[in-house]
Amino acid sequence: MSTIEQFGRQQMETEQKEREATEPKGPALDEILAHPEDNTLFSKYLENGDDGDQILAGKLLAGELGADDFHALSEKRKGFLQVKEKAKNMRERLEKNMDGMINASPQLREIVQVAGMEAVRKAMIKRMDEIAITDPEGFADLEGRFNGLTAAEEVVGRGNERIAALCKEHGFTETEYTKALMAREAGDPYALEDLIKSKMGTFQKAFTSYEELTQTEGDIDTRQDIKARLSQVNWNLNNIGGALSTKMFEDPATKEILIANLKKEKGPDKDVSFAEMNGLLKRPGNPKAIRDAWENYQNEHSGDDGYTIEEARERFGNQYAERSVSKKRRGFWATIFRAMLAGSVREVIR
Amino acid sequence: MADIPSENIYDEFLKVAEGGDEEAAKKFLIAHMKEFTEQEQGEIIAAFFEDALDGSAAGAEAAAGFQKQAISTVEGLDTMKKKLEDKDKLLQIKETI
Repeated sequence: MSTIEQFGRQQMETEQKEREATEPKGPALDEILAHPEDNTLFSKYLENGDDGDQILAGKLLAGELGADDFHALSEKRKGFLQVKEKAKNMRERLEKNMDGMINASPQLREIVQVAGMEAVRKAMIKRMDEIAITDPEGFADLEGRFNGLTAAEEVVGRGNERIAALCKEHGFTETEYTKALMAREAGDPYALEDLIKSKMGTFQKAFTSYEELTQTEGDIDTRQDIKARLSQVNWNLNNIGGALSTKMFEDPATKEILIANLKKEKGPDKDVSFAEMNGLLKRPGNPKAIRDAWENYQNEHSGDDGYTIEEARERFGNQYAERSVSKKRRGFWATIFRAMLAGSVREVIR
Repeated sequence: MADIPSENIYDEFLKVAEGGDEEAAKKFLIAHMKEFTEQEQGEIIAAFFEDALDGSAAGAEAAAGFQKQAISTVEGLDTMKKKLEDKDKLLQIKETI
């Protein structure tokens, strides 16, 4: 093999490796198109793209793809697989934390009892895939909230190491916290709450008193003054130490109490509130008007868009609901409201 | 799982919601979960799941803040204690000279 041939071969191998490195891993285009769930998600991905993508989505659904379209679709496949990969990573992270989240949420625990763990898992997976594809901003928001959770848990974990060291150093024995837990187990629902609330105040008071002590440090000239000041410091240390426990900061009940008592300091909620939803949640008025709108929708999409009648009903219902509460409005009640409104519209046109 | 929602489930939910009790409305959604379509059940579960995520994040952040306050207070008092003890030792030595 000549030097030039050898160089050419090396060049081809390098290019091939580079292509493989940048090529997202996942199913090939024909596999995506053949898989019903992937096909639907891929269509939704295209529908959320630019005008050209939306035309492609229409052709895909109607089964009218030309040779050039396959080339364009195979380019779009790369972005689609990247989004799916992001959704998959998020799902995996959520699945690892799922037990903890269910344990901390009485409502999720009830749902697991009513619908089963598998239903919760499936709903979460479907939601991650859908939101990553149809609402990237919403997905980023969710990812941010989850990152906030894991970051705070890491802070608590590191803090607990420090607390364990402080307890050991000062001989703190978790007396008050243990007592509160025992009282709670014996049926006193307020035992832990009383302790946390009192400690929220105590920490603040002790901190203020520490600041005052620091400021007046220079005034202490006699051993008698020092003795008196040491007695104050020790009292504060023991008062806090009795409540310190590494378990305390991981206890879901502690967190609930803290949230309830910190709520007053929070600003207005950016999500759709229950009260706002109640104002909006009206039966979509005149069923005849809805049926007329449905007729128009069917005429506009006269069977050439590839959707079954059931899928068309779903899309019509969703569009109707999103006109009332846009996808950009987030939060529990926004999601519920859209689902309820879309459902009642579908019921009218069924 | 239901493909068709049970009759009037939306009306029933609306009535509960109109009562203005947010917790009662959430309880209704859970208790009547199976009466919604499979798709709606998924949406309801996802909403509760995200709500729980928010709750967990807020709880962990509140716990981290509370813990930080506790640690810095103990550490501050500890520093103060050590300084006072050192000063006391110094005065004690001065007394003996």
